[in-house]
Amino acid sequence: MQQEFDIGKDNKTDMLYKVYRAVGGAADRQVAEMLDDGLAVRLRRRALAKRSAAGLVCTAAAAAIIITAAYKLPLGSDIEKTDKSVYSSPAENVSSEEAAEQVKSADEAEFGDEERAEQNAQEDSGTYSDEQEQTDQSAKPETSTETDTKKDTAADDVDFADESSRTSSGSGKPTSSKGITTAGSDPNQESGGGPPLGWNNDLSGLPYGIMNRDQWHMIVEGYYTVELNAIKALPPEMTH
Amino acid sequence: MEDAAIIELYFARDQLAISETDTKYGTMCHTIAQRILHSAPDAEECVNDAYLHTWNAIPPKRPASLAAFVGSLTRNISIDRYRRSNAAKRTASFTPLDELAECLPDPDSAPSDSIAENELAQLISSFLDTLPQAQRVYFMRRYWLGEPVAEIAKRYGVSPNTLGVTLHRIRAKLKKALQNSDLWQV
Repeated sequence: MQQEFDIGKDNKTDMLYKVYRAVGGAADRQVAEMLDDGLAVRLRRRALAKRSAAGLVCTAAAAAIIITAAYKLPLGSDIEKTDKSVYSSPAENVSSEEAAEQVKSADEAEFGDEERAEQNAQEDSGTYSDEQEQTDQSAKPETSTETDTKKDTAADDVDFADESSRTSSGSGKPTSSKGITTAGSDPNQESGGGPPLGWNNDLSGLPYGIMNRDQWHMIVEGYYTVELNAIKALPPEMTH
Repeated sequence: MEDAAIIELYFARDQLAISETDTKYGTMCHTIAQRILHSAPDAEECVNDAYLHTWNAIPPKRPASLAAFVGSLTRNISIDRYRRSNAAKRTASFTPLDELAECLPDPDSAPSDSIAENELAQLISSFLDTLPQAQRVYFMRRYWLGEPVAEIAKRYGVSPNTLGVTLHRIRAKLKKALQNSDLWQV
């Protein structure tokens, strides 16, 4: 048998076969341990229990990640992309009444009665165009008597009112921001009858990750007040 | 029949000892030889050689475990035959042997002649004692019995990938143990 060992040519091969044969010379108890079927069953049970535990931990971790993500991420992708500080400023810093007041003051500062009447007349005749809108906006700072800071703030907030007042159709019926006609809503009627048409009363679908429910309510109510004030400001002949 | 009774038959020079050995450990021996040689006739020949060596070795030897004794003989005879065939390029490669090549430290640092096989076996046996029980069993199944990874994984309820990684780590540890041993620092 010794002759058979001498067949290898290089030292590495010799060493490899020697190591392999040496593994064969392991202690008897180690061989007995390997051949023990009872031990195999115990090791198998232990391994399966470990795998089950690991699976449970992984499932729990995945569920925790999904739930966390569902609460943190807003449902609307547009809102997610919006600068949070800019978007949340009205809700965090301005109440609905304050927002309405700011819009009203901005309207008064930027549009005199004469201008408003002229503008309304243009809208009635259906000749109001985007170009004119841009011209009007560029001319606003010259007619304003407020400071620059106030103008900037008011201009941001005025968009709500402008949108609702200027997009009114020729029929004289004001529209909401989503373009849905608020038919049946009397501008002379007092506010407080709930959100305007076009708003979903059910706020459960809103992304509460950015703002909580109360903040969302504040925004909706604020917008509603602003819209009603803008409608009230229209001459009676436009609302009938 | 119990191992002790079979060994007594050997001591009594009763040829029934060989048939009893074959009845109890024939399957294991054939499997070991077949895994190394990939040839049923060669495996049969190796197992018969192992029985003959056992007959000649007992007495005077009295092995504590007949399974380990016969299995080791079969394994060594098979690996020698494999080596001869492999030198003549007549056999398929034996994967466990290729895997164990990873364990070898720099062969030039210690000439093969200077390392006695029984000392090496003692070193590996001591190394196996340092491993957790499960890892020791995996190692022995893979490199003593030559069992495929998939079969070991199925037997012990682990995934083949996990077992592959475990064996790889054991080989790395064995390499470190061999490097740090006195045998390699001659």
